Amino acid sequence: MVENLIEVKDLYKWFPIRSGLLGRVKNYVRAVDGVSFSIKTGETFGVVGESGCGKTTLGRTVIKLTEPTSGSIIYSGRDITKLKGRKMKEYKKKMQIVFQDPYASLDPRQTIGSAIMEPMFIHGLVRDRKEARSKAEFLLEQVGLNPDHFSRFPHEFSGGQRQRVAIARALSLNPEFIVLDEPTSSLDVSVQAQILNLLSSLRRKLNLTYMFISHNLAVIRQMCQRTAVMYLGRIVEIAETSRIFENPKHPYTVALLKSVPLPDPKKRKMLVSLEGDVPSPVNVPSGCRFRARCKYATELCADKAPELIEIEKDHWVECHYDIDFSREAKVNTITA
Amino acid sequence: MNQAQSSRFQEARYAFYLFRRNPVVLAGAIISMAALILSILSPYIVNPSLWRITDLTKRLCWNNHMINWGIRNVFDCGGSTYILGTDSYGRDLLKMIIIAIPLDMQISLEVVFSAVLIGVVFGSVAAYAGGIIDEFVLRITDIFLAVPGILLAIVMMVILGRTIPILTFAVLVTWWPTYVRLMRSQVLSEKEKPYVESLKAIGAGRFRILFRHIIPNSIYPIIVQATLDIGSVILTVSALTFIGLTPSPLLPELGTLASSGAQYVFTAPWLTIFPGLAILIISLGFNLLGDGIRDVFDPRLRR
Amino acid sequence: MSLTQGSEDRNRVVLRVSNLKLNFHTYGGDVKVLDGIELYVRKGEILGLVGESGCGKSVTALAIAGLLPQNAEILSGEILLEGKNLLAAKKEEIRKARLSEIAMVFQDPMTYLNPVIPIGKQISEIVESDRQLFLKPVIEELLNESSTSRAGYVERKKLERILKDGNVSKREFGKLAKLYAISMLRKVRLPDPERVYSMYPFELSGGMRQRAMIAMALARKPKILLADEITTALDVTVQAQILKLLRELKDQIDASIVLITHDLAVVAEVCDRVAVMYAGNIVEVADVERIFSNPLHPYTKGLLESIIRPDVVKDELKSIRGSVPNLINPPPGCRFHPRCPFAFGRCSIEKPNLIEAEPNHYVSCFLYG
Repeated sequence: MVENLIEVKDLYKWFPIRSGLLGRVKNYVRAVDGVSFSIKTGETFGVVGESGCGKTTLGRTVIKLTEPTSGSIIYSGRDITKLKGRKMKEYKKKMQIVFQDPYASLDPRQTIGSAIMEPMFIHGLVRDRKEARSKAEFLLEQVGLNPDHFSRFPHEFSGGQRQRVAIARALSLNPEFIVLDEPTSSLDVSVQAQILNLLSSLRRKLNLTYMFISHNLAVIRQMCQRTAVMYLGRIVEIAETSRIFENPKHPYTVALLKSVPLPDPKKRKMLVSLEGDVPSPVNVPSGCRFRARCKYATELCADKAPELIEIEKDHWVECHYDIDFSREAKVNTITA
Repeated sequence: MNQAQSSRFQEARYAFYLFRRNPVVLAGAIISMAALILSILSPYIVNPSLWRITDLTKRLCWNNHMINWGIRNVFDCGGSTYILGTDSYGRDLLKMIIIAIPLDMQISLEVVFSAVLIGVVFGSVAAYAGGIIDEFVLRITDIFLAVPGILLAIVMMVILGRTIPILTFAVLVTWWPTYVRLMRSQVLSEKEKPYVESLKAIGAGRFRILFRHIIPNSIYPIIVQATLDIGSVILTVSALTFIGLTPSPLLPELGTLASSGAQYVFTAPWLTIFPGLAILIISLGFNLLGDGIRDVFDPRLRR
Repeated sequence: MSLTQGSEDRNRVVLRVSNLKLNFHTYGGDVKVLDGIELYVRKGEILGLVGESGCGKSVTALAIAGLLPQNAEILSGEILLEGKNLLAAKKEEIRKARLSEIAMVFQDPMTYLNPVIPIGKQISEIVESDRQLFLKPVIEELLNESSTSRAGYVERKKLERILKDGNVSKREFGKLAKLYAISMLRKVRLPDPERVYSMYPFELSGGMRQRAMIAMALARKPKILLADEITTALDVTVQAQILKLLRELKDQIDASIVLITHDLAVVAEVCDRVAVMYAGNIVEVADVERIFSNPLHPYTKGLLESIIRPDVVKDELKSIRGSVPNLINPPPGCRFHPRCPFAFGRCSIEKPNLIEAEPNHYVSCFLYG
């Protein structure tokens, strides 16, 4: 078995902004702007960040739902960046995605049974309808739904149940890797836990590898072994999740963690750690893109963009400085 | 597939419920159904070749004593009864209207059906393919939309001749662009929906996504528009024939009938009133039905 | 009902909702959205109204603000604002109450802001719409501000004269309204309020828009500010800014805030008291510490256990079994009984009342009598 199921190197995804009669490209939305990471076989890799940081685009680009602008994606040791057509279809089968909004990610006019069978027919995994149906019913049971619901329409289900259907559909192709794009963000608290438990148990049972995209730090902490923090199209920190939460090294990660309210009135804190808003991914600031909101920013940050550096084993940070946040002081410059 | 059927059955029952609660829509549905049934049964009620037989001795008769037009020169031809009187060629107006309705309905259905077909095909392909294809289709519809429809139809009929097929074709030429536009905008909004992306993720091809998912989900507004347009096409066709673009002044067609009575409007008003009423009732019926269907498919009224 | 005889804080109650029952007419049948809401809001507090989607928390707020949709029908109940029943009041009184006493802020500001009118203008238009009503608050606010800012002595004199005479020309008031709007924008900590005054909604970021909405609500000097999921659509860092603003405003303004949210962490962060809703009922009300340290109602317990925390890692996340009932045919008796691990015979027959199980801790459950 390959240790790294997915390796992403220097991935860019820029969306052109066209205007005028001839549709000339005026500018680009730099959704993913030079990202490298790897996902180990069998782990849940978290990607956390605020809206507009490019985490969703990253998830879609990794499974080639959108074509990357440049960079490479290596799946199981094979470069799939340039693959097309039939060859890509083989890989598409192994890589699935579950979307955020279970209300909109199913065709409203298709029964859930037919929705789950459709991928099997597309990829020719089943000989006939009967086999497809029995497999779909098995999948429904596996995600905790009643197989008798096979012929119902999506609108007859609650949000949590629909998300289970979406998971069953992703599983129908026996994938190895699933991108979970905010799978519980539109669900209620009590249902959220059910879906997360289901995802964890499926991962163990079926040896799946997850890329878990979320803005919710609590969910990331529960689900992921390693986590990448994204800001404005770039990964600013990657480490084991516990390390990210207990010993964050990037000022943005620290600010993000400080902003999360805790469900405990005894632990009230002055939440605010960051002023202002995320800049637009069209006009990315020069140098370090976080500097405008960073209270530790110096001239160096404006002149030169930092690079992702391994400051401890398996702990990568994109910052010029090693900051001691317990004393709130810059310790030393780690890049020059 | 019992449950699928029961689910679909519930849907249908719910749609019927939405229909029933609104008496105006129900009236529309009844009128439209009646018009369709009448069109089918017409040849069995009235001999369709009757329109060729003229008898000028019986022209402009009014034997129906229930209605008094209050006009001095209303002839009474005695003997045989003509409920709606006779026209200027001595034919029974009621029978002419019964012969005329299927003809108008046929033209209207042909126009609407072809326009829907063209609209669905070109509109969805343009929207789904995008780029140059989209631009090309759009510009062509622009050209047709820029020319006033009635004028275009008149010119075509004057040049190509006054026959029923050309009349149908002329109306169709002015009618199809709106369907292309409508379908295109539907598909454009539908293809951005998340479920389309989830279909791409499971490896569904472009054609499967377009034909199995996007088109069935964007067809409802087209059906509504088509139902409304059945009435509108009847209006347009009879307007064209009324102003004289008719193959023959004898032709039993609602606009032609009304037109041939126009010169006698003060002596024999029924000649224009009853064909006019027929046009009004049929187009109103389909309009109400269309509104009702729109209500039924309105997502805001659904669960 | 015991809530209406609330023990020690009767005098400090600004708003009281009692036995509010409400149905929505739909084609599928009548949805029994609210099933006898009992609620009161004290002066100057932040009350958290929490529950899952569809529990009726937003509808309660809409009923208080008088913004119910067409298909809603109030079956019974009272909404008393300082003793005045809004459900029985005359049209003019209701208009006044909506204009100046109750203000609501929504989740998605873009829907409620007019996209073609500058932000500041939208605020000043509110006060200009009723010169009589807003003259006093506007001038008092400006006097207040001029005492701390650099505005000159002459200005103060003029303002005091207007306040004494009680009349002002339309044009003059327009100018004052603009200054007032700017001061409101400053109050919600929008940077450079003079510039923001003439900006259009699309020029502002999500967080700034939400601040502008709050400013617009505060401009009316409300007694009750209803905040419906105002941070749900925002990022955590921006949410933190807005929550901080709410906490700061609480001491500066004269309003009680009702914070409607599904997020218990937000409640823990800013609220003084919490009311938990389930399927159209208030199931538990208590001080925020009490709710989190000693929840009584089984639903509250389940909800607290199912929260996913960023500071604790659990092996198995807990959740409440089953799902929220369909309110067209709600379960009889206690609406939570089909999902309740402690349910017994009586629960499915009788509906429990909201009772004071401990001082100032109300719960509607038969486990507590």
